[in-house]
Amino acid sequence: MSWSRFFRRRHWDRERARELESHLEMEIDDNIARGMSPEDARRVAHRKLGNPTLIREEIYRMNSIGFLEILRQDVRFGCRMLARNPGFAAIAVLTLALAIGANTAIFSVVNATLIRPLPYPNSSRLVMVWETRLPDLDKQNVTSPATFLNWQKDNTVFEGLAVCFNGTGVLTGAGVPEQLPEQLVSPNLFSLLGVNAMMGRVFVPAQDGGADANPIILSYPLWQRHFGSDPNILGTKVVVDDKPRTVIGVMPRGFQFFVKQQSFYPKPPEMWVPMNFTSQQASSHGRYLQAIGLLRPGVSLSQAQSAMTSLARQMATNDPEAMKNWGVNLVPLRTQLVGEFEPGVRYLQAAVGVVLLIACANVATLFLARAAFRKHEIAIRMAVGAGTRRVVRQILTESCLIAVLGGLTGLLLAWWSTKALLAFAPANLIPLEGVTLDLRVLAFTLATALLAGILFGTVPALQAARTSPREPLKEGGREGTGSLHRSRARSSFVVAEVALALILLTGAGLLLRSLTRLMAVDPGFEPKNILTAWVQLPLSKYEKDQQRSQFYAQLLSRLRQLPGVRAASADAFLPFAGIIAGTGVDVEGRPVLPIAEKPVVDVTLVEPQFFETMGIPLLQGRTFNEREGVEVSHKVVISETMAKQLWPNENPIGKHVTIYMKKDNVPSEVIGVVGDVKHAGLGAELRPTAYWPFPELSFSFMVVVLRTDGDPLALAPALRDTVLSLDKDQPVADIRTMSSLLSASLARTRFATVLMAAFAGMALLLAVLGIYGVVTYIVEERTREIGIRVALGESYRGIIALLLKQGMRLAGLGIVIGTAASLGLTRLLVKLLFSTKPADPVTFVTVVLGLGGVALAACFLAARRATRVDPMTALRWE
Amino acid sequence: MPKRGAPPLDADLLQGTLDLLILQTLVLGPAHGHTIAYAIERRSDEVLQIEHGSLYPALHRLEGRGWIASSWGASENNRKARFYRLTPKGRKQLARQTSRWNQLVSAVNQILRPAEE
Repeated sequence: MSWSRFFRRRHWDRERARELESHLEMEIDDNIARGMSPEDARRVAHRKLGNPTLIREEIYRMNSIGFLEILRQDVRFGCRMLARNPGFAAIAVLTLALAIGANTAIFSVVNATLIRPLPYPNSSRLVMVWETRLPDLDKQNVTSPATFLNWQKDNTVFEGLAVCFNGTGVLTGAGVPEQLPEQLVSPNLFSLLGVNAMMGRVFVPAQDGGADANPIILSYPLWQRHFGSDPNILGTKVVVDDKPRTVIGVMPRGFQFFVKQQSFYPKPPEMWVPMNFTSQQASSHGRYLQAIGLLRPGVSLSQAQSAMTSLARQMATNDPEAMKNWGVNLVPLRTQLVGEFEPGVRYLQAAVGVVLLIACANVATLFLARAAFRKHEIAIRMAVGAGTRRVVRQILTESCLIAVLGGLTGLLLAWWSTKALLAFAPANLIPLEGVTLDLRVLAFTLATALLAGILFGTVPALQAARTSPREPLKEGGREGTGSLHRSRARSSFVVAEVALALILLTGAGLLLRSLTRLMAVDPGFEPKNILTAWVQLPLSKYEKDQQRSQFYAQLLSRLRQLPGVRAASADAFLPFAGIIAGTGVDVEGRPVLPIAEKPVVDVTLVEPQFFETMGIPLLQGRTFNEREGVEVSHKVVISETMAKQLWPNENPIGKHVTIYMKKDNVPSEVIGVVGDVKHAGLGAELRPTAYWPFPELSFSFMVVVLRTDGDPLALAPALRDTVLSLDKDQPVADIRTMSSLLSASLARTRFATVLMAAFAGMALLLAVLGIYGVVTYIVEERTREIGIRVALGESYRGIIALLLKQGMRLAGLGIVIGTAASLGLTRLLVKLLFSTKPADPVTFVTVVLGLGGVALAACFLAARRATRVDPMTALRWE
Repeated sequence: MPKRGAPPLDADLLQGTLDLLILQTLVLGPAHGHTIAYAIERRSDEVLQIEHGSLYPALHRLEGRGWIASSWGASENNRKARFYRLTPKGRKQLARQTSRWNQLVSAVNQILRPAEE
């Protein structure tokens, strides 16, 4: 065998044909010379030589690259077989395409989120450095400037440590004032990540570490949108929060560094400014910074963790007042970024994998059914000399052909469904930009398709190889010995399909039940018809506390007069919007505890009428009056949980509590107790919460809440106009309804649940088709028997009952196996489930009854075909 | 009927033997397929009856390996025929294979002899 001969094999064939011809002629000459008649001479010569075609074939084979040639033949033949049976091919291809398409779509998400490296050159060594309140070792708490500087000075494991703070800034000076997410970063952050600017430069500690430097870096989208992609942007002055800054760089398109955990503002930044601590800030123990470290090469995560833990212990010894009971928790950046959705994505991947298995089983049964009709053809092929291996190979080629066609169609579906997925997926669910069909995804699809082809092709191929060439021919095409094996194989496929479908159905059922329970949770307020909007005042303009409280008070009084507004107020940290401040407290009259041992409560600022606007019930005492909205009064309203925790057996009204949020902490008098609010989400635990009136801290930002008569969004323009009527340069950001915030908080769970339910639905459909198919097949196989039974007087009802029994025995077996497997597997879902046990009996019973019922219906529909058997026709078939 | 489980060893052995016989025949000079077939039959006292057709795949194989070369010429009866001749490479092969064959034969004989006695 050689390549030159391979490509010239036709030439060689002609050559050898001529040679054989000349051999024959010489032999005939000799034979005539021996005295034979010309006919005899020719006949004997031919006998002596053998079959010239076979000889040529042998030589031709010698010239070909064996398996390529056979593959070519098989593929050609396979195409012919499929073209002759387009219905079969279409169903098989479509079934696979659905499953492969779903797998590809989910894999493209997996690829974008879990496989592809993070877009930072140093990504494998980047870790988030969180503080954690002991004894919890895995909490992720932001850190303080003092602690960060201490870490930076004394750690032995990091090449560098950086911090950032995700806030907002008002951009003025170029076009309309816009409030934008802004990241304050230590000047070394970009070099730590290993990224550079697309235009200009990133921050460098040497140049941007001073307090007088005022540079700013823009994101690519901001540069495009707000500055019209101005190529001469570098060096331009922009004004952020009334402070002039010089643009020194534009980051590359797609660059992002945003960790949501404990971010003050929950959106990825669009501009960056350097963060340099004043000496007063540098000694602050206020925790608000996200810290990120670059591990020294060769330092493992566990080494770093133990080094930082001992550093934390040392810091606690040096400064027990501030640092006692605080530890360090290192989280690799990748884990941090994918942690939120990794389990969900993994489960979805497992689920689509199961759908693919079911699809394979389904197509395998189709192949088996067809093999029954093809046994004649295969027997003939074997009779004329096809080896077992050759037959197996032929059928495997056919199944791979189907699989590849399914894969290609699936790729189309995936391309389309990935788009649909992204359109339907809630924003911020996954880093959507990265979800594309790249080479890795294509390779995955191809591999999946071929694997599927081999998976569903093997059993039918081996079954076909068992065909004895004699029997089907002898029996004139009726019952063969293979049929018993075949129906057994079909039965086990159906059992497996039902079992797998049941596993997915229970999984989806549990998630659905958990979601309905979650949605039924009372958030603690009335979320309907509430409009919310973020109003942040620039501190340069509204420098004094009094100015800010006046602004908000005026704004609210104007808003309350708008037609369609029932009530208006404001809150610093809205429920479901992200974070809330937290701090330690002391109850007056009890011993003052060290900082680390004080009870911790959530703290927010509210304007008067907040509880009335939100519909949070007042349980005891009173709420804030108008005066308390503009003057410092040292009053506080507390949540029910806070009341129970701090004054378990006392009436809290009139008691005093010191809430440590300021330099001079004055005890506040408890004037009211209100109902608990699920601030961190419907599934979260209740936390003690203190509501201070606005003047107590006079933040520079508040979220306005309006209770409206009708559609809240209809009031958005009026809200904006009202703000502008007070200050024409004041932007309003994040206008959203409370219901949308609430539903956004459930979006990820709902999305995963819907996808899971869709996959379970696909699985159910395929399994039901499988049962239907197997019963149909039984009917066809036993047409004669049914005919005889009917002829002998048995009722169709009895025959249907018999068929139902057969079908349901398979379904039942599948259900039993599936239930057992589910009981083991659903335990893996425990983290995703909200107040639902993995072995929730209601879900299991519903799924089992439902699947059983659908299976019964499918069996019945298929069995009804038996009534169409006419006994006379059936008997005459012989 | 499929030739299921036909032991491949036989085929290999026979193939090797046929190759050896062809090479041996060509030592005497170039010859075409028809001549080679009869020469092998005659020289083995008609013990080795080969189907003439099976000769051609063997010739093709040997030519592929470069042990023999071929060209068209005229036969004794003035018919066109393809003539094969031994190449230097083929001559070396023949020597090597002949000695291996002899080794094999003597080995087999040593095993067979005591059984005959």
